[in-house]
Amino acid sequence: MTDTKLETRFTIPPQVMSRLVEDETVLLDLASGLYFGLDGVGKRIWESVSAGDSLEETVAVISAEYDVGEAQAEADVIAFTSELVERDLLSR
Amino acid sequence: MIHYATQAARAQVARSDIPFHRYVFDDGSVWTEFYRDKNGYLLRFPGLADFTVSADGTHVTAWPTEDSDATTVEHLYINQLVPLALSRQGRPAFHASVVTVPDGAIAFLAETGRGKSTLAASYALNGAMFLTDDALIIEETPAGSMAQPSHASIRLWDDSKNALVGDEKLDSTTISYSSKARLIGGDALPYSNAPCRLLAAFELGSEISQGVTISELKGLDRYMAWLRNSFLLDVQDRDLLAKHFEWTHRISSEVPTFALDFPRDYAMLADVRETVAKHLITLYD
Repeated sequence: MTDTKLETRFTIPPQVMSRLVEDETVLLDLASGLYFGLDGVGKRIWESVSAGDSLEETVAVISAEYDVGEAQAEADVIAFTSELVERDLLSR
Repeated sequence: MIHYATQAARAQVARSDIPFHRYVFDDGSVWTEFYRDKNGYLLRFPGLADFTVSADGTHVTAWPTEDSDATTVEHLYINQLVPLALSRQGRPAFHASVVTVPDGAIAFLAETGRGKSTLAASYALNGAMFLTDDALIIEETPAGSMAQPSHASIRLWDDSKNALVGDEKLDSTTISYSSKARLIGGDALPYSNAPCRLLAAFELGSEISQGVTISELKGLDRYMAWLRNSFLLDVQDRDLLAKHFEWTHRISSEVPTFALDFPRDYAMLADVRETVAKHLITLYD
């Protein structure tokens, strides 16, 4: 497992496209041809990291907007972004 | 525009390469195999015909088998090759039937067997016109998504034909691989050869509901309704996938899209038409 630092910023790989569809985000991985849907917190995390926010900044966003403690927000954001990285939808 | 030619019958020689994509029926039998060919693509319909398609989708050549016939090959070209080749050209193509309604047209998105042709015939026999029974080609214009007319025919299983048409004489032909009759559009089965603005789309459900139900599709559900009913010739071409992603987003955002379900009982079709008509009134009034 990769050690994740809170100052980490992500980039969207060139093979990944995203579009907002009403209140959800749809992702397409051009390499695999697979589509993914994000809603709720997942969509908000995607918006934050794809806008260039660091993990720490994203944790603050989620903690504030969803009224959860920073420790819980940090765990959720790290788990979610790690899964996106594993699926090649985000790059560190 | 597609340049189409047919060649003399030939055997389908076994290929050493693996198809990059397949259409497979629920029972596991193969409907279509997609191969890369030196000048583009070869699409094989086992036992029926091969079709070569140029890399840009502008040229299609049919290579029937000895067992095939001209009507079957023409049908495969119209209902399968045209939408697939047009998708290769970057034109949005979907599995749907389309009928006219006041001020435009509506589409019934569905995979094979969900009843979109039966619905199209039901509309055409009751005051509307059909534009296509199987392949919806969309021209995106500043005025909206325009449904393009396809071949002036509707394919129906015998039970649908008997229930809808009865003993009435309609022009028809048969296709060798299917017991469906192909009814030709005409006075008794009106067909529109003019593009119509798409006012709404209804994805046909799997007959879960007891009555006629319509529910709005939003967000990802709406996007996926269009996506899963897409024709796409080359699912591995990144440029084409990217374009497909964009046009699906544009069209699904622009065309109001709903889930439509009803018991597949011919006696329900009038209720379906009436419920859809009322729904369209609420949508546009």
